[in-house]
Amino acid sequence: MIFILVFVVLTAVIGAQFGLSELAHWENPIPLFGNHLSMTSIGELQWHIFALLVMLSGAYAFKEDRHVRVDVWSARFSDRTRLIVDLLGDLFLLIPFFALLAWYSWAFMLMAYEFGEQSNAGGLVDRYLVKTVLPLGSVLMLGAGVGRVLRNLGVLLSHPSGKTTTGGSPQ
Amino acid sequence: VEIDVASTFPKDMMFLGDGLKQFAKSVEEISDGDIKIKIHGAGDLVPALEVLNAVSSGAVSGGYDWVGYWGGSIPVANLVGALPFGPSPEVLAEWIWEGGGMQIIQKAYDKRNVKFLPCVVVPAEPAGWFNKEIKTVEDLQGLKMRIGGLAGRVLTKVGVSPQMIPGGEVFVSLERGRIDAAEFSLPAVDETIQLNKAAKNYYFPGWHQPSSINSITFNMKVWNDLNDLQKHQITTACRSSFLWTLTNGVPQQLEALKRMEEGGTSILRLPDEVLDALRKATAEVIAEERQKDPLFDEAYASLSTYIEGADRWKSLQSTK
Amino acid sequence: MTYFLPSLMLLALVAGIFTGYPVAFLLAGLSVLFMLLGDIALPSFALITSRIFGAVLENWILAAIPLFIFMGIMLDKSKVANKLLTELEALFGGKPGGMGLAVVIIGIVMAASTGIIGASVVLMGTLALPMMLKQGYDKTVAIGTVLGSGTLGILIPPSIMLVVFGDVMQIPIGDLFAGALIPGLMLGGFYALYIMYVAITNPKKVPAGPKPSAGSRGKLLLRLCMNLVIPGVLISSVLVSIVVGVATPTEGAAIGAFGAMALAFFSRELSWKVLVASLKETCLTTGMILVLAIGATAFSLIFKRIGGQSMIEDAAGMLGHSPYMVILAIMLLMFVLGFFLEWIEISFLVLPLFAPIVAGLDFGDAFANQNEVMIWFALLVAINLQTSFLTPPFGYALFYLKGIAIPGITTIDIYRGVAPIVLLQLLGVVLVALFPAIALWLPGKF
Ligand code: NA
Ligand code: NA
Repeated sequence: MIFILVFVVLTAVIGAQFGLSELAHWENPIPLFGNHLSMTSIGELQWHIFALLVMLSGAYAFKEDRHVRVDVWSARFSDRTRLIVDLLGDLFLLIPFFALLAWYSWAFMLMAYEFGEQSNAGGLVDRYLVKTVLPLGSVLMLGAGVGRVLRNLGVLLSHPSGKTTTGGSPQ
Repeated sequence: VEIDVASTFPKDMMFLGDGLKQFAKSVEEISDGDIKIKIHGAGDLVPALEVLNAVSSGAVSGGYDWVGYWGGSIPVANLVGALPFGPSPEVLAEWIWEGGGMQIIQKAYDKRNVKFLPCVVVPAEPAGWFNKEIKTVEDLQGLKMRIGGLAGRVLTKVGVSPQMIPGGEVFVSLERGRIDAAEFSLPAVDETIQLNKAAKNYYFPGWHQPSSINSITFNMKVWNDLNDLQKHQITTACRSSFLWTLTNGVPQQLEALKRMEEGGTSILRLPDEVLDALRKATAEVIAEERQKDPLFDEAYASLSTYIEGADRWKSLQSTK
Repeated sequence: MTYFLPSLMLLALVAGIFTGYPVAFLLAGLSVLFMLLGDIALPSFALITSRIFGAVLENWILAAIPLFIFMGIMLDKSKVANKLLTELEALFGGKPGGMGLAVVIIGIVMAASTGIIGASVVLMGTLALPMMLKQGYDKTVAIGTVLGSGTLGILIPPSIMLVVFGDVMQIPIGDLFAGALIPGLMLGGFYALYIMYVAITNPKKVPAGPKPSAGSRGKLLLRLCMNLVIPGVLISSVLVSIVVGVATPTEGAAIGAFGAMALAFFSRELSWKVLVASLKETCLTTGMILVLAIGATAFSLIFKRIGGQSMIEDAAGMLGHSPYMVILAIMLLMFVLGFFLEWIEISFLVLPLFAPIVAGLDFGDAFANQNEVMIWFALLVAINLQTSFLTPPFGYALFYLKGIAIPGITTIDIYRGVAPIVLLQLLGVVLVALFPAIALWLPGKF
């Protein structure tokens, strides 16, 4: 996807240098592009790809536990305490937020679909497609969050003594 | 009641922000403090381009916007937002308030669950800032210009390459040659972002936007929950701010032009040949729009009748 | 008690941060919690939704971030810096302090190739630090040199931090890049002076190594130039195109990413495996930064709605009327915050609260226009935040160095080594504060 982004942006640079406007035109409209490809489409395509990249990378970074943690103090916590922190955080912070975001961004996307939102400068059509990345990303986060809650619960329940070595939050 | 209004402009923006302040002040005075309008600048609550969606869903009660922002999904919005070779502000005022314009646009807004009120009218803007002089249609070929809306599509037809540049980067892009020309706003507003330091040639007339409307919108539920008196108070305040903007827009522009001219800006007029080519391309774009959207078609026919009538009256009354 | 809720929200944030729970989700979750506590109707969440879309996803300025990250990783993979380091070392190693200077130069070169600092601190820590220690360098001096020059990347353009600043504060990124160059080089110069000072007063701490023979010297110089020229041309073309304005930051970054990939390919360091690993790393870093931006967007919207903005403005108002006092207070606050937080949290969360206040300050005739004030302020913050990488207990650079775990280096050694560098950073902030021309001269030239 980064390749595509690099490629699209480079096309924009070259196109702008040569002062191109309409790059291609065809009869039957296709999703996202409508029936033409202009420099404006290329410009808008940049942030379309970026939006998708952000939401997918966000979920990927969660899976790899790469989101910034400040472990000044928590470095001294036991594994079990850290696991409980994650469990509570996921339950009361992450899940409510992404559940609401999934719900409201779905409505947000539907509105774009219903009203045929599109570029007002002769660029891309079908804004609802790029707006779909929000509910998509939220559902991925939600799924990953619920997964971690279940895993952490499993670890906590199967090691009631407090000796936990697996699962939880790797540093 | 207190009503939150999310603006698509910075709160203190010259003229465009003042129009909203004027409206808010009138509402409060007329209703003797019963209705308060709380203004939120662009981005404070919602990003500018999401204001209408937010009002539609009820996330905010009210909005203040340049109607042309919604042209992508509400084609008829382009008619009062920025209609190339469209009506003058006075004729637009007649049509929208007395000629059924408001009702036609309201039809489109009904689907959005939004009440539409045309409360601010903006005078014609200049055609834009150009790094080089425009003498023939060929000079437009390959020109990189920041411009959007229907005018962007018109310019594409004559070979211009419209560029999307965020507001904050317009100055730098123009000054440093990333683009060759830019359309931004009224002279007094352009002056605040120093576009006169970025390019030398300031072209008239504003063929792309001879007039435009900024609207106040309310979520329909919020509007219907108001009693009749409150609705009248708001509509009256709206008429009052409309008149205020109609009568206060131009003097500031003339002062700004004078200052910029003294600073070395060349104020020029697009040659008739170029205007003719643009007029022809505009007719094509409008024909496309009329075919695409029945409401745009209806509104355009109605507005055209008004423009023709106004032209006739003007020529009858001409003393020159 | 009007500010009860916003104070409580800040308190919850601070407490939450120290639990070690990911900051992005903490911010996001607190926004929901305080919406409920602040009695804000749930449909207002639609505002958060549209802000996330409009301010983060639809934002083409931020789209430069993944491209700059990828460019930095690719240049790192092309191993140009490793080669440079060995050559410079061989060239300069013969004099006391020579090797230290070589490390500072590499630091500056790496800084100009990457927008983030992870790679350069790791490279310096794994390669330069052991070399210096082997040659008998004093631990404190060696560690300080590595940490200072390793973190310059966040300041010297291209810098992701400056891209975010440009977006948050609405200033052209080209101006920020141009403005950061001289302060960045100045700090590099300070580290060099520090080494020279030690070399004069206490040469045993920075001993000389074997001298290269006269013949090999010429060859080395040639190889060095070769290795310096190609990336040099690439980087400067990216920067110049952005500063001069022929390319938007996103476009410049794409050119850089493409060029860096070509460079890695021609250095025969680009295998399929390396490429996949680089792409993954780019995604992880992008996800980390931008999900935090999403959380911060949600948090600050609700914080403002429950009265947070006026609380901050009132607090700033109590500082009196001198604009310099306000700047000083903000700098002190950010310095203190920098002990615990990183640039990402501070730029997305703290900066937007203070930027409007600074924009409203009246400096009289000290600056030509308000844009200059903002550039100057942004660069003060930038140097301040580079320092946050270096201040214990939570400084990424320190973590990276600890993570590499070089035998014989203790945490105390690291703290001792970084102390003089932090002082030099503060000197840098003070100088730029007193002489804004250091930051403003270059942007004014374009
Ligand atoms: Na850098
Ligand atoms: Na720190």
